[in-house]
Amino acid sequence: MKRPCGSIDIISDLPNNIIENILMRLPICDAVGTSILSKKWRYKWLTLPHLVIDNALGKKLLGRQQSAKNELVSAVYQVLLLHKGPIVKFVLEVDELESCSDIDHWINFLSNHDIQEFTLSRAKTEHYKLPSYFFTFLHLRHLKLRGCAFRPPPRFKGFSKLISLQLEDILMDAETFGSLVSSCPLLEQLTVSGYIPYDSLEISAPNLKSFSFTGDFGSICFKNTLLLAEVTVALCRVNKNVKHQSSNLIKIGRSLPAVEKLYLEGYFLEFLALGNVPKRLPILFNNLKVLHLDEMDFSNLDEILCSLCLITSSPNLEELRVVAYAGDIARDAVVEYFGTQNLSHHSLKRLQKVKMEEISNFEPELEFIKFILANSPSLEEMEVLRSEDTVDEDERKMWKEVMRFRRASPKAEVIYLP
Amino acid sequence: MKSKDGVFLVKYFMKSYIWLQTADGSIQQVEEEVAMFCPMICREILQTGMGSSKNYAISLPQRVNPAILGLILDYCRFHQVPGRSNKERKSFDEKFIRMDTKKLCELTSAADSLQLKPLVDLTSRALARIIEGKTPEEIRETFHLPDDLTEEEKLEPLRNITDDPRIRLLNRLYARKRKELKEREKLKNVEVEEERVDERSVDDLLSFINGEDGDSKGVRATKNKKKNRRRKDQMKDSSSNNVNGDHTKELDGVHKSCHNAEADEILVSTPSKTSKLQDLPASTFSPKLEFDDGDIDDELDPAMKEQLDREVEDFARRLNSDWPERMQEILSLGQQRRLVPPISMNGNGSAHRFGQQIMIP
Repeated sequence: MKRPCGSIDIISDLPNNIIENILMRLPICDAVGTSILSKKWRYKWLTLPHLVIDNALGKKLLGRQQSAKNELVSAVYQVLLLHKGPIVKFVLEVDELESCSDIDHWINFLSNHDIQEFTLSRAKTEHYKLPSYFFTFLHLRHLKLRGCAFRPPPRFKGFSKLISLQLEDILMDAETFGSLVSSCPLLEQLTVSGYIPYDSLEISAPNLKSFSFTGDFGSICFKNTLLLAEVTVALCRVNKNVKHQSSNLIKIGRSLPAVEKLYLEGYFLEFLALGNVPKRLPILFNNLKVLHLDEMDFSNLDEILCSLCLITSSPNLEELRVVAYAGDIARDAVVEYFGTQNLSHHSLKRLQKVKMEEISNFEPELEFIKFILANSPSLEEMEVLRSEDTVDEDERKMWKEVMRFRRASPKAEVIYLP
Repeated sequence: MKSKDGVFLVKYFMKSYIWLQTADGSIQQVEEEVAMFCPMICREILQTGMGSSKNYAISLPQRVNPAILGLILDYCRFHQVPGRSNKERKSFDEKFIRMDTKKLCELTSAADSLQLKPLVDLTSRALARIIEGKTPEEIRETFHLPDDLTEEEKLEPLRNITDDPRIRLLNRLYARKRKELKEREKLKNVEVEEERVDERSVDDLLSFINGEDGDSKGVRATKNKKKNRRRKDQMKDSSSNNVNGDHTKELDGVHKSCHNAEADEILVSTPSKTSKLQDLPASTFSPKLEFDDGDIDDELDPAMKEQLDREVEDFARRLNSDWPERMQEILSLGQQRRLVPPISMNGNGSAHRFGQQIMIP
């Protein structure tokens, strides 16, 4: 039987789930655009359970400057109104998004669907206040908010199905945050970042596995976080004037028994060093495998003590990365410390990979490297990257010294990167 | 030479093979571990024990022809090896999907019938990449789609929405649900104020037929108190059953009224005119009301109506169009629509536009 060449429709009769699978991978414009392809395609996009309106669409419509914002708003209304069937995922990620009462309308509309995944992200200075019916999205499993004000009504009891929560630049007070986290019992992933300082943060989440914070807090405490395996904290400020009775390091270390990856950035190491830094932690970080110390101030004796305490209390540490910051706090004290200490009877048995960055010819930094090399019998690779400020002459000195250091591991490779 | 043959034969006998039969009757055998990579085949083997010999070959779904089966088995053969790195797999996938579009579609369909999800996702991604960024003409050409929409339809592709069988089914379910709720309401009403209910429905009917808003409004006012209470109960009901079906129907009617009046724009085609659809949000988005089945039969209580008007006006302020008149029209039509359901109207002139959504079962 002869088939006329290229005249048989090859795609329209594929099963609906495949068509949906394909359409969901298209940007919203293209997906909606399929409705003018042919009779069969008119309604195929209408029942897509995922609607993603993102910056790409915004850019597309920004062709005509003036009406661009109206265009976008109009587009969202059209998509929502024409849509049929359940909406499971809704993403509205447009930096320029302003008109707040339109967003109210859209959220109201969506509150009639059992939304499981919701993103609202905008980058305007004025925060958008989430309306009360947002707090009825009780089927939420994944939530991402940016540029919003979060003030739940008093009867709000949390999102009982929430698994992941991402808050960026959100206006909310510490208490609201604390009760939000503790009212989401299934929460596994929590990411918070913002400029607004919190007095004290409380993280109470029994199923939490990963936590990341970038911002400012006066204090932080982890409650009931027995499964927390990955912790990243980038603190942009530390208040040294507050008197600390007990060591922050011990307090926090005690509540993170399962931690495997620890990323301490900004001033967080300094924060941990407040209170008296112990020589060793009472409870070891038995599960800690990866430790990153970003911007460790080598002129601050407390930070050095804290980092040493951390390292020597983590018998199973495999990977260490330190980005040095050479401040001016108490250089002499630090040099003196290293002069008096004999740091060669620790055993970092599992340490395999070390990366030291921004290293200059500053004695404490080199002593630290010496310490690591002398105490890691399984070390395979130590990378040393010098800081750009190092003068050539110093660099040579540095390199010579580093190469001289005794290595506990026979297969240790010291790689120096200029 | 001899020993090599010997080794080969031993290897051959040690391997286990599965027999597969495609729809055209041809049978082929495949290494067991490769065939087991397909969930559908795997299930057949485990549940029915088929496939162990030529006579008991596993029948594959119709969508799998021998050529496509070959491709699928190539995919399975590569991926079932456990030791491969993600990079290797990705690289294989990229090369694997380089084929003409027709084959790609057949492959997607076949993989779906064998429930081989990773391959379905891979091919769907490839097809999406082909579609993305192309103009409608280019897409039609690539997939040999008929250009069977009229120019008018291209501008308003959603006018005769009930063409779609799924939507007709939804309509029917909706109508049935509304009937059920109406029964329930009637029972409740009987307890409270029997007489008044009857009168009201007659009034509603009359005012609808006469095309008036006035009477119905008056009638509505008296229903207030009771309605509020019912609404709370029914909110629970409607949210637990079939919310999606119901409120989509709401939308159906509401936006249809708009489409009928004006040419709409769909995102891809010239997005110069701002659509009158913007009118709708205010009424459609008024909280929970629209989507409550019980309330659809009744009218908006004045408080809600006020809020609605406020929202609507707020909207109008931000848009420069000949809006207020359109809004009036839509609102009045909307009210009429709401009055229709209690009475099974069939093709009556004024109900016709909205009657489409109420299919008489």
